[in-house]
Amino acid sequence: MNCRQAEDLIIDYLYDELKPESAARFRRHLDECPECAARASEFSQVRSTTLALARVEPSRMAVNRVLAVAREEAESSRSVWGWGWFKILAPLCLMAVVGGLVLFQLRTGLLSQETISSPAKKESFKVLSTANPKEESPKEKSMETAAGSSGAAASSRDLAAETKDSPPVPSPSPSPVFNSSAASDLMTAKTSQPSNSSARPPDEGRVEPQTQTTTPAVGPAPPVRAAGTSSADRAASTTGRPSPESHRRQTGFSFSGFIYFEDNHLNASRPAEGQATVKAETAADSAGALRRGQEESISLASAEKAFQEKDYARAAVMYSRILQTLPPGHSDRPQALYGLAQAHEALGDSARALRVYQGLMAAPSPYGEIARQKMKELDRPSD
Amino acid sequence: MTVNMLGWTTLGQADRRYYSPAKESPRVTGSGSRLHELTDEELMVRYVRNEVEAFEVLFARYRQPLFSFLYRYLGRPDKAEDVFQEVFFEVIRARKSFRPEAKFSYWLFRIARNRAVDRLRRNGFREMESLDVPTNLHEPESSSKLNQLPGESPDPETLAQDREIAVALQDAMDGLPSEQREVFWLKEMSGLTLSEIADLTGVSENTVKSRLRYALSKLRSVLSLKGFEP
Repeated sequence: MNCRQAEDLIIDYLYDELKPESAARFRRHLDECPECAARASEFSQVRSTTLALARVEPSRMAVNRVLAVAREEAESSRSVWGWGWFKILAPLCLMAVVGGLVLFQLRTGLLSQETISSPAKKESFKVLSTANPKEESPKEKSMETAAGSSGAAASSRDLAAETKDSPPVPSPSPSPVFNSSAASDLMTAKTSQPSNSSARPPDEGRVEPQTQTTTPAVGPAPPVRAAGTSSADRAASTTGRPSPESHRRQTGFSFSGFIYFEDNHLNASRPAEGQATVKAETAADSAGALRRGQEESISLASAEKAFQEKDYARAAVMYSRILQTLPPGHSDRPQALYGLAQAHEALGDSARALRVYQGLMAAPSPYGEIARQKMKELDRPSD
Repeated sequence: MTVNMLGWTTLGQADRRYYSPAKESPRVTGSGSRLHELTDEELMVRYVRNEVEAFEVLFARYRQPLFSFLYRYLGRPDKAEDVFQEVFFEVIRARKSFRPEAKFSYWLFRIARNRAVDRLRRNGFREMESLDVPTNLHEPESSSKLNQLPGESPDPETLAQDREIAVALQDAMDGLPSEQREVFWLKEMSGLTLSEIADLTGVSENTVKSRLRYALSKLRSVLSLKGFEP
């Protein structure tokens, strides 16, 4: 080993990091070279002197503080009731709360996918009396219409567009589904299979929401009493949530008020389609209809019954809903249109009645003739 | 009071007694004596299992070297003490992330060095106090570092000479570039190997050796200039 190699290794030697063989060779070189030996010695002395002078202790306060924190941390980890348990229990509690909320919502039907994904609901609008299975009328028939058609979809969109204009009704449990639009019905009114009608007997037992100024005209009786699927179910298929009726069927729990307000909120973002969209009812009509018809099934029979009971606002709403349910060209559309026009007429809303009659003019006999006659009576041009 | 006889001849006998934290840890009695035989890493593992006594032994091993490094590196006792506590608080907080296969002293001094660098950056300058300050900085009555050097009881002449050496060393230290000073104190206080220091400071091992060589040469030359020949 020469001096240059020793210079390279002197730091390793001073700090005892040389391998034994290298250290032995280095020492041999120091024995032979007084210059390198002196240098190594000087370095060692500088180190030891500096080190001895440099040692300092932290204050007792700092030492005690560190030790106290160390004990505290250890004890809190060890403690049964310390943060250790809290760290375990907190997520469990959180999970339990979230799980409970999800279960509650599933229970109340808000998140239930059963209604949404039901093939029966997707493929057809099953017209069923849904208010109360015990009160289901045997007279009402099931009727299935072609579902998923563009007409039905358009009706649903119109329904949604109308809803945003109707403010939430301060009702204890308003139903969201009593919002309707006659526009789509008027635009797509293609009627068939009219039938005779019978005069509706007056019923004085009800208090009407609006002043009754017009006696309902005698018209063809509804030939088919279609026990209809409620519009609530259609609304559910539109909004992706179960209707109040359906979740009442499933759960026996009514949550319609919540859904109603949520519907309004959701529908507010949907644009209205077409310029001819007409509101079927006013907010007051809806309110009265909602209060009375919430638990009632929606069918031509029930609408007619409402009409006979002189509950024209409710009848108008029900007819509107039925029209939204029925696809274009359905045999029940003329009857529903006629009922709607009569209801408007009875409510004194001649303009709306005229528009509905106008849509009914293209319907086959006897609805077409009746519509023309009615329009003449109302002193409006027939076309 | 034990006072050393600081002279270069006596220092020659002490050159192999350079500081090693593990070797000079205070002994504890009872179950603590068994703890004392454990390695740093084993002690840390025990503390992770909430054995406070293990931490106390570990703390006793490292509190002086760590504080000395921080004090020499930062230059002021108040800053050193702040960082000292921060470092151990960090060790306590992050104890569960400690891997037993890792070297505790490396982990500890890495935290300390990073914190010290941050502190220096924040303050923007470094101040250095004289080496001739009490060993316990918060107890002015305690002996100075000069009085704790190994050796015989000094006579007044020797004591005065020691003080002069201390002042000369202080000047030499202040004259060192910060990189050389950092490496020097890290090596002296931490007990880490040269390669570990290279890894910690982000330079090559040869650079570390070179910095140490320059630092020692500079210290030696300053002392020689002051008339303190070995």
